[in-house]
Amino acid sequence: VNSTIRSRLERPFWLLIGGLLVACAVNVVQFRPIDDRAWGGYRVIHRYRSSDLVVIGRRGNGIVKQLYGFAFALRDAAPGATIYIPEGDEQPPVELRAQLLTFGGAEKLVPLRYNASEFAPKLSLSAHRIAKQPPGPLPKRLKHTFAILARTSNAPQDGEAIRTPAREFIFLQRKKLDLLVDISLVKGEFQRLKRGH
Amino acid sequence: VVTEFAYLFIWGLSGLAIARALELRGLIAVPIGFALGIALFVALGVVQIVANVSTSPIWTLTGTLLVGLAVWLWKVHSRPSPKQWLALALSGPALALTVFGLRKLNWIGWHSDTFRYLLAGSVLGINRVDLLSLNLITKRMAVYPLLLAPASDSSELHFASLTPLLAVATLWILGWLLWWASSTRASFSRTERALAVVVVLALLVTNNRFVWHASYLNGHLVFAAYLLLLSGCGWLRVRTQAIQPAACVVIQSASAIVVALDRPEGPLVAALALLPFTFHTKLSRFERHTPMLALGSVLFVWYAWVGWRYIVFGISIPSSCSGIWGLSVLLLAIPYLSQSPRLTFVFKRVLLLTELTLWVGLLGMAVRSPRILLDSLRAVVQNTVQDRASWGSSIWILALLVSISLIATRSPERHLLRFPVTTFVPLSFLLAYFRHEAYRDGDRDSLARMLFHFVPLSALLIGVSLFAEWRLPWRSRVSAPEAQI
Repeated sequence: VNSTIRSRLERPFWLLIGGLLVACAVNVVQFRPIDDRAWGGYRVIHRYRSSDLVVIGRRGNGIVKQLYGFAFALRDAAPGATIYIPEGDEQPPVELRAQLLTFGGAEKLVPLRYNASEFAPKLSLSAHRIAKQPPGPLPKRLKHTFAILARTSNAPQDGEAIRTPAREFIFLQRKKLDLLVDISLVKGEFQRLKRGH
Repeated sequence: VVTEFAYLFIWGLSGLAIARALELRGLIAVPIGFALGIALFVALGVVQIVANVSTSPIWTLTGTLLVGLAVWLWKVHSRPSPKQWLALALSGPALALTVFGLRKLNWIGWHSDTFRYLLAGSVLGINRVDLLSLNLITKRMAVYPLLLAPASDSSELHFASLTPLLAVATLWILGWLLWWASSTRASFSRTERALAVVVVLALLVTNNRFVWHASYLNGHLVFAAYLLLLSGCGWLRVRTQAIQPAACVVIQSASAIVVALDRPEGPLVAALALLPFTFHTKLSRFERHTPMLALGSVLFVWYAWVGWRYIVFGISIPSSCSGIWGLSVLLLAIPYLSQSPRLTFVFKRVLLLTELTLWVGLLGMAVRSPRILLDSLRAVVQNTVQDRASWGSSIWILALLVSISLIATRSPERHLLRFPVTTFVPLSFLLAYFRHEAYRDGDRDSLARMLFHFVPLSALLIGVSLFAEWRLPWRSRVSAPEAQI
């Protein structure tokens, strides 16, 4: 027996195999407790009801809901929408435009010559609001909150939007609020804006 | 399902053609071919981005298919045997079933960073490179967004089966490398060799974070897989006849490019991983210099494009961009500089000097601003000792096994695998200084996830050490040197 042990120890093979087996055993013992402590997206033994990451993300993570809530709300309210945005230096930040076209499912962004904070049609925020920034602390990176306005008789849910038949929106800004407004709510002013363009 | 299957099948098929052209024989051509197919797709995608032509993934896929076909017609002269035709015919339905099953599983690892990649991928998918913000370009880079982009063809955000299949390919490649590692010593039986492969693979399969990364939508698994390919295949080429020089050059070049454009720290890690091969005396000039030149060229073009995007956005080019651009020039110059007799002293000790420079650099940074290092060290302790980042004890056990292997055993050419692992220790803390921010506690911390990049490579390093000799002097007297193949 001694000679067998001695011959085995003359090479690192069996000692390292032993170390590896111990490491595997520790991994197995710790696997489930690690998973139990981990938060949803970090868990291994986890199966979602849907593979739609927008659904998963907005339910599972407050930051995701806050950072991309505007685009998610647009996707809920009016997928395939056309959005009029100011052109040139006045246009919304590149990230917001990217989000509206991807996560928001907007079909196209149409640049027009206007100033998003100066174009001021009469609007009732509370009467037509179909989506707004979800409640909760805003992430540092988010400078503006959002709201989507369209004709509807229903009240909005927190962070979710009501589906609207509207397909055309104009992007406006009020102080630190980004707005997407259903064109039919500002028809007259919008026609004048387009004629001016 | 159809879109996902089509992309994966064509990646695999084109990569397989390249693998066969490189004379990779047997079943290993499948996982390496899959990795090469993905690398080809990514390389073409990068060309589309910087050349300002359509980034629609369908064009990238068409290019991938055409290159695969051209390689097959040009290099692979033999017609597939009936057995190979049958395997090819069966692989289609098998892949379709796998894709279908993995999609049904809804098995997704994610956190808020995932959405940054999804955003970048979707922007590329709808062919709007102009909407990539500087944050997305510099932090999310090109590789993973390009791999997410095709999902937009089917109005989705990601391919459910890509990451799990890449994890399987990583294990397969690791197993293959280990099998060859065991062949370097004649005195081991087939049972011992098989046991070594099984136990090392079990080390990964039982690791909670490895399994999680097999579902996690982020660039970490891609990074780890290609780093393993880069160092592992290079080591294999130096130690055995299992791989042809041309195959090694292509695999290393492709892997270095993928690693470099996968994450912000990628260019540094890829360059460090290539360094021991660039100065290896057993390799020909072609083998030593081609991967470094490929990496340098791609970084030169990519960071020139990134610099141009800074100018377009009206922002001055930061040192993080110009610095990597400068590094690319240095990488391109290395093959020429290495011929200079005046620099022989430096190049003979290049690995030692590089590692020393990294430590001295860290020391200098720490003296200037100790807070970042102290906070980062605290975060590392919290994440790995107090288990705030879901690693359990696995990182320390892995570090212990790697240390025992390196200190107590002796194995020829193992430094080729060791160098990227040990240089990452000072580099990881230097990266905290480069980003002007200490690491944090919890799963969200980037270092806690970056550790994963070195797990498969460390497993290979331990696996190679299984077939080593004791370094201890009294052992070397007892055991006679064994026959080397």
